[in-house]
Amino acid sequence: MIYDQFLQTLLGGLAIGCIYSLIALGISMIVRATDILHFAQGEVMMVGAMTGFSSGVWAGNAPLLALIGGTFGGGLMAVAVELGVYRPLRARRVPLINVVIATIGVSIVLQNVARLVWGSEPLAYPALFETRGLVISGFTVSPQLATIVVLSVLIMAALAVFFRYSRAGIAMQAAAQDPDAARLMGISVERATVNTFAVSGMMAGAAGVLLGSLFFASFNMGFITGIKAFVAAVLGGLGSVPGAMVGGLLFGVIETFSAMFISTSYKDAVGMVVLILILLVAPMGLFGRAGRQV
Amino acid sequence: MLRINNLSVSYGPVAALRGIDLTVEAGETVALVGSNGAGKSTTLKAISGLVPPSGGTIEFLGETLNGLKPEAIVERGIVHVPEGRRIFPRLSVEQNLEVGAYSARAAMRRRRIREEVYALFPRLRERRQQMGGSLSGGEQQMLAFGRAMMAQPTLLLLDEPSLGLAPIIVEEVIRAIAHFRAEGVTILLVEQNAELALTLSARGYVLETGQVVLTDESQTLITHPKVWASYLGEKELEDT
Ligand SMILES: Nc1ncnc2c1ncn2[C@@H]1O[C@H](COP(=O)(O)OP(=O)(O)OP(=O)(O)O)[C@@H](O)[C@H]1O
Ligand SMILES: [Mg+2]
Repeated sequence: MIYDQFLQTLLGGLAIGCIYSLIALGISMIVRATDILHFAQGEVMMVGAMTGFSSGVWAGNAPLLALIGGTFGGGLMAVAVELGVYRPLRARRVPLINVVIATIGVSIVLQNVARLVWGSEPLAYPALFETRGLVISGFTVSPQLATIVVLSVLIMAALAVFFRYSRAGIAMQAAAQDPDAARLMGISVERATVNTFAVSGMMAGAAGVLLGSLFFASFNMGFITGIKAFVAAVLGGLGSVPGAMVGGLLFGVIETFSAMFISTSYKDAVGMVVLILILLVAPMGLFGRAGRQV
Repeated sequence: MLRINNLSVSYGPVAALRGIDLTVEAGETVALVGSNGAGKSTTLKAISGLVPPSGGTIEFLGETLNGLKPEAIVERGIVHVPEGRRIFPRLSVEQNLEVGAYSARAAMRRRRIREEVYALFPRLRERRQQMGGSLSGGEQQMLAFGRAMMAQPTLLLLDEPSLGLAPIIVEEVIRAIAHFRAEGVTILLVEQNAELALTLSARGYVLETGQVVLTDESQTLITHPKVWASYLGEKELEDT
């Protein structure tokens, strides 16, 4: 049944797209708040996948604990690199481009540390979610994919509520839009920046658990996924939060369909070609506005 | 209330303030006038902690402010409305007001004060869901005043509140300043529009290339040739 297969592929694309969106959101938030292109975001995701794996196993295969462990693992790792690396660099007035290079260094160091701690063999996630096919009104739906989509949507909705209504969320946006004006209102821009890294790391960490549960967790899973999330963020318009969400979904769906219709081996290339085509039409991305805007 | 002694500020090699003395007593409205680049904004930035002094002291209610971060200075009741209003463009009017009351000292009474802001500027209530960046210049100035009200200042630093506004909106600015004065707020008012600043204040200082060249009662200053010099430029005055 071709329609059924189409729906399956679409759901698969949306699920992987949600994972890209969660990572891309963090990339966009960090660009907005600090102008840093955070190339280590994929590794933060990987750390989330690893800590999620460990806490899930430790708790005796508890999916919720894996998700919580991954979320906090990612958040703590992002805060650690901000406090330990990026903030000291900024304090020494290191040019922005060099800080961006440092994020690549951080990504390599994190990969090596993860290899040391968790080994180089891919870790098979215990079946976190139901994997048997679920039949909804005649269509077979993978509950695992559906769970990923539902959880991602919930996380993104929570983020939207956080930014719209919470004092900390509003303060983070104010600090990103106009740091000096925010300071005059009593906002500590340093703290808002740490919060930005914390929230973006938590989302990446959650994404790591979802991705790990779909395939497996390994020390080098963050690199290509991080690059794709970057593409998703650029696709949506770097620095735009709705753009990162849509960009991730779009990229996931395009990639999955091109794997089905063209070839699995070329799906990465097809995704990149689509990116270039979209940038030719909409140079600033779909929701374009780059970097910090005052 | 505010006592500035021999304050100097430099931006790298550029000396923006070269040893100024200035005092503001509780409940006063004091004007600070001068031509472009005289150092007016720099004075306010030094008081609110945005730029570090390179020399001299700033004292507020007997406490030295030197070295405190802006966040800490707001907590002491000094609220700086910067030049160009600096509304957060992608926050709604209501969120902008919320940010105004971010400091711990202002957070408690923020609901009540927000109603006061909306009562003073009904236009802001109508637009409370609109993004700050989509407001007109006049509306942004009202929002900047609203944000300052939310912060519940003891000492209010106003940097060119009338800049670029139509006369009818300047009336709103005057109304807002009157509101703060009625609440007993002390005001240090920076204006290039010396006439406006001096009609609103009791005393004034004239700043020229980083130094106080004159200070007197506003009534006296308003007719003083030096004040007009800062309008027209030194050269033209010498020529006449
Ligand atoms: N960030 C900065 N970097 C370097 N120089 C600066 C900076 N800000 C101000 N200056 C210089 O310091 C001097 C005083 O500037 P300031 O902004 O205080 O003047 P002002 O009196 O507020 O002028 P205006 O009426 O144009 O607003 C000027 O010569 C200006 O060029
Ligand atoms: Mg100025």
